[in-house]
Amino acid sequence: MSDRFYRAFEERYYAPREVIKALRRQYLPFAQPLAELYPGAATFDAGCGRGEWLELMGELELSPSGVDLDEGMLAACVERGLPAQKGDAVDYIATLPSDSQIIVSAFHVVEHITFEQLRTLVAEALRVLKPGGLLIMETPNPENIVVATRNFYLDPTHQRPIPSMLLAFVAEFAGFSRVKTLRLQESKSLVNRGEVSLQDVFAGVSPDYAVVAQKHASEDVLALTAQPFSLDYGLSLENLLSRWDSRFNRLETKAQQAETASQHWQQQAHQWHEYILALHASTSWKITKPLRAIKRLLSGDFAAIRSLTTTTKLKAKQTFRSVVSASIGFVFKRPGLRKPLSSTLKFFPKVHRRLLHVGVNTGVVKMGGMYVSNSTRPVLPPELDTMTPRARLIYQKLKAAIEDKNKRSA
Amino acid sequence: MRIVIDLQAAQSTGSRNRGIGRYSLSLAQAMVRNCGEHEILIALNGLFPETIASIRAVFNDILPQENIRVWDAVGPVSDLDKSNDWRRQSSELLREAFLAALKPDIVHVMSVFEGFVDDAVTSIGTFCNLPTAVTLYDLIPFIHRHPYLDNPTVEAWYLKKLDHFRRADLWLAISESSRLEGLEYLSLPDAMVVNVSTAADHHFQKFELSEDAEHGIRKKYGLQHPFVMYTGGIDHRKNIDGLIRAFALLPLQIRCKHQLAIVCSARPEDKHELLCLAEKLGLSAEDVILTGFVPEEDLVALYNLCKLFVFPSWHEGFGLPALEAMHCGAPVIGANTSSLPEVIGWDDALFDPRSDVAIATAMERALGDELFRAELIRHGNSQAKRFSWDETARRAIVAFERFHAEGEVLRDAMPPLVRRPKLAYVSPLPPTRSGIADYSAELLPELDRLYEVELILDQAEVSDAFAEASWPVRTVEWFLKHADRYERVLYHFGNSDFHKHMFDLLPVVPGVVVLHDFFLSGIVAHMEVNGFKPDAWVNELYHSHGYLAVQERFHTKDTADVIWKFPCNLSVLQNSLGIIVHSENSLMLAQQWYGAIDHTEWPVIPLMRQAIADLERSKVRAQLGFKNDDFVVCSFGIMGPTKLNHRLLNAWFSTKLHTDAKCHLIFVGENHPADYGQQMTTQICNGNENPRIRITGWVDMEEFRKYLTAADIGVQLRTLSRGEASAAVLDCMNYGLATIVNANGSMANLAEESVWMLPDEFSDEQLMEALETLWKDHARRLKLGSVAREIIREVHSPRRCADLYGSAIEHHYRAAETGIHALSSAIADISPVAAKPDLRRLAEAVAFSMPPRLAPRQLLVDISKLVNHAPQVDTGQKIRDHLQELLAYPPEGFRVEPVYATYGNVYRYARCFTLRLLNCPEFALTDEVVEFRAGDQFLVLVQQQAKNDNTRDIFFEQLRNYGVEIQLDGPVAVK
Repeated sequence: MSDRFYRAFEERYYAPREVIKALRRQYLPFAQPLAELYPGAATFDAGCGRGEWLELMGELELSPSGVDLDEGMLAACVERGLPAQKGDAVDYIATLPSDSQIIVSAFHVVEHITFEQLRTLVAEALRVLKPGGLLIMETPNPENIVVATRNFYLDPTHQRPIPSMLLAFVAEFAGFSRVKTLRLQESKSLVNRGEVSLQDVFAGVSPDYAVVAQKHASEDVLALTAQPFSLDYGLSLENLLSRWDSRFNRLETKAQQAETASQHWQQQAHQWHEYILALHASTSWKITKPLRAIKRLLSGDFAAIRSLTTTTKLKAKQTFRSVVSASIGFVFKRPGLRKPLSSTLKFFPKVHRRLLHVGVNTGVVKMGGMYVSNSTRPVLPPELDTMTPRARLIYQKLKAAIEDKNKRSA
Repeated sequence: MRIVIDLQAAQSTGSRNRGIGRYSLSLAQAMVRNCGEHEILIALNGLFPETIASIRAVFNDILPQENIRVWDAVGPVSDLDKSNDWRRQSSELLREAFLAALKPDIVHVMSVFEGFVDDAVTSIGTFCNLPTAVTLYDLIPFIHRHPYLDNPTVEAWYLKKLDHFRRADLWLAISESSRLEGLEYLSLPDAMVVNVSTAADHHFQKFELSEDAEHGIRKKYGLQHPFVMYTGGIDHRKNIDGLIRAFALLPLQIRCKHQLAIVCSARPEDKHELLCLAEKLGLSAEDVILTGFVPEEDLVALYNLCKLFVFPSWHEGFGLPALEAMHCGAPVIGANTSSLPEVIGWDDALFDPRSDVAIATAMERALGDELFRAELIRHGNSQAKRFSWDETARRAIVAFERFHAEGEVLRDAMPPLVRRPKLAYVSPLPPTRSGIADYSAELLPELDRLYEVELILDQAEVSDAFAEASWPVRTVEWFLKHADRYERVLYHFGNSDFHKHMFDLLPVVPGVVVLHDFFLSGIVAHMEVNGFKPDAWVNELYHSHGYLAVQERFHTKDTADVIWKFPCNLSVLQNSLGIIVHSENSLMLAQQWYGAIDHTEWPVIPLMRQAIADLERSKVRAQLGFKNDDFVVCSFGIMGPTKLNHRLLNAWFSTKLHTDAKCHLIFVGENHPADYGQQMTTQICNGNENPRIRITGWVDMEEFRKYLTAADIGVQLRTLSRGEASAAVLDCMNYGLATIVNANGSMANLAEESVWMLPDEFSDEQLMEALETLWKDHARRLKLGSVAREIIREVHSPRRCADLYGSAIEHHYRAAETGIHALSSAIADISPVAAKPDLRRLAEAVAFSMPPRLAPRQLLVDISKLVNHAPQVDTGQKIRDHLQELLAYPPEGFRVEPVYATYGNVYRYARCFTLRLLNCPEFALTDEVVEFRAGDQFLVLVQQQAKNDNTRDIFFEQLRNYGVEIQLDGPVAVK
């Protein structure tokens, strides 16, 4: 991996220094009691990077030191006068005297080294720490599925994801007396949210975790950090899964209720339908009444025709009008009737004109005939849309013939 | 005779600039000049777009442009590249289907051996058997497999092509020698291999070069001395080595005065080899001149300038350079092998090409013996005259004629069906109250002789007679699923509700259509208005008749008038595999609405009448209340204004029959339901209380027959008929009645001696005369009746009609075997399968290459500017005015279609725009992609700005290739 690449890679994916520093403050509840117990004591940061932790240690008036392999990162430490030097952390820690440090830290280091190196690092840390001293190892959390399957591998120098149980066991096995796993950097809003989505289940688990291990010490020393060791930190996969399951169960219950309700309403609708059918049968006489009226008119009820062509009282006229317009509407929907009727009417031009007039005024007849365009036109995929309709038909025919043949040969 | 010439040889990159391409083009031109009565179509391959314009230009003055037909395929298709396989095979099928659709009497494939490296597509008998003639140039690669077929890929290709070549029916050899090769090496049938010979083009002729011109040519090619010339390819059989060796053998005093000019383009390695050979033989670079490629006019000059032309080739199909040289007045000597003896035509001018000495001897004599040389020139002049393109073309056409005449006997006899094909019969049946249902009931028992019939019904029940019969009854849904079980489908289309399910069925399961009514507008309009098929009527009005009809549909006050006016049947005609009609009248209407039709494609089958068993007349008369000496005049059928019942009634009142107590006038049938019927009843009552004039009202079949038996005269009048055959007239004739008709619609086609035929527009007096004459003249009544009856027995017998159905259906299905449906399934059988885009392109190529029947010629008016941009107001108005004028008064024979360009020169019909312009609902039609067809005209009303016009030029070029004429300067061209 060329330096240029790694630098560019970090520039894209590394959070700003201030953000990192803020994240590191999470460990202060562990560090502060020790800093008070051993004022000005030494701490060692393996893979110190841009020195955020070194700075925090300085603020606690401790004497930090750090090593990193990356010169670009170290430059940032040098700028701030932080005590960092170039070197391999595992090699370097072996040079430190025993019982000399109160905190050994390794933020996002263990995923870069082999398992053997990890075990060495942990064993050496135990050696160099003073009683009650802390080993802090932060690393990506493979319990987060998106991290485990994708984000972890964004850094090509990463070796393998380390499950928290393994890392905790390494510390325990090495002989640390107290080991705590902290899940970190999760979305705080998710912690308190009621409904979790599938997205949350996959991506919402704390993306990083840390193992904090404490070297054996007397009871009163251990008591100083008992409080932070007793708390729970972050979101686990189990937590989110159980929240998702309970949400799903609620939905299932709701769906069952909805189905029951829909059956009920279906029954209701069916009853109404039966009712309407009965009603329809009984009113058919009423529905066809206008047709009979106009038929009578046209088959020589001349009195009625005369009443059309001469002025009568307005009221009579209005009644007539509604009957006639309904009749015209009926006829227009039935071209089989329409032609004989309209050719008959031509023997009575006055009546015809009059009826047409009524029809147009009442909106039943549109000049030029009724037309309702209600065809729905299918939207074609672009490659078919630029073909002529005939070419499309031939294409479909060809495709069908080929499918047919495949079916036969299969 | 229709001769289709496949002229790809003049298109393919392999041949177009070579002998075969030139031969093909010259022969095709000569055939057009000498075709006499015959029609010639030229078929071109759309995959060589760059060649089409120039070929069209060649035929410009001698052949109508529409006789040049372009088909399209999906390229690349060259045989060399195996990844082309699907495209090549589908193109072969498509090309043959295209050729079949031209209905050729003979197809002449100018060159079968094409398409190895380019996109030429030549196949014979892959999709269908078309009578095919091919040109036989030579079989040199077959005869000399080494070296010509050493490459196994080339060998495989050549042998495959040779199989196609053998499948031809007629071979036109370019020489007697190649004809004999065909007989000897391929065992082709002697009578079918014809030597049509060949000819040199006109520009090969003798002329005097000016001194300057001669000097120029000589200087250009380094020919200072008199020279011996050879031209042709460089190929080992051409024997150029032999020529050089022979030249070296010439006596020095002759040789040093002459040069040898080898005139042809040569690859550097060939050139080097020849020059090395010359050098080895002691010839200098000045002695042997290799000219390289020479332009055509230089070639003619060299022919004219050479002192001797030598053609020493071992094997030729013809040996055209020898003929060209003779045309230019050169003395010619050549090999005594293959075709050259017949080209040169004089033994003294021939030599053994395998002997260098023989060649040298002949050359020495021709160069040294002036008398002999003069004789060679004289002989050459007369020999050259024996070859001409006109002569070659005439020989080819005579061969076609002879072949065609021999085939005629076979073609016209319909082979009897080996077994009864399974036929789906799609028609309403009784008890549906429709004339077509009754008709089918009568036809089916007879059709059953020829076909294994199954009934496809869209009705709940069938009358018992049919339920009992052994024809399976299927629903439409069932039929759709199992359509492939049927070998034949027969649809009965009529203008009534009982046929509405057929409109969507026909395109999916195509079949032969019996068009009982030419006008389908009633049912089509009904489907739209009732919502059964939205926009069915608008679409069909537009499809069949164009914008004017659509405009009338929306603007005519009474839509019934529009139904009455426009037939609306083009989709049915186009979707059918073939049409059957009942009267000549339908043919007239088809011609009137859709232009010239091919009568052989519209078989007419008369209506059927079952010979009747005579009822006992006197008994029947008694039953109906007539005495034996009563005189009974009947008019049969549903009454109405178009039946002119009132004319008969009026005439009756004015004749003596009215006052004679023995005369009866009976209207047998249902009275008109409305006013007309009312008027009739009133008139009958007012005029005469006497029950001697009666309207029976609706009667059943039995009662109907009784009246037919009892009557003395039938009177069947019509006006405004839509061409439908009148069943009642046939009933009258069948019962031997003397029948009075008027010459309206199909009744005009009745045999004159079988009925009393009044003019279409007859006077009352004419009708009165007919009634009174027939009343008095018993003999005449008898004669008319018996003739009528005879005609019914002969022409209208169900047996004969069913036989006619058999031949019509089989005729149509034979044609359908090369149609789009058959093509699709043949393409589906190609393996491997097609890539999707290729399949789409192929569909487009099929759509273009096989245009729909009866499609109108389109005048495509490009109004892109109006649709896509808002032009300046006055310009826009000008275009609109002009467009409206075009729409209102379309040029004779054209359908006006405004179109506009969308992205990538995809043109669409501007239907929405035009409907809006015509004040019609604009979304009644959809802007589909334009289907360009040969013969269309493309009119650009507004020239686009000259921006990116390159793609547009290419597009227009393509349209021109396809036979679309482009008028760039429309009447309203705006600067």
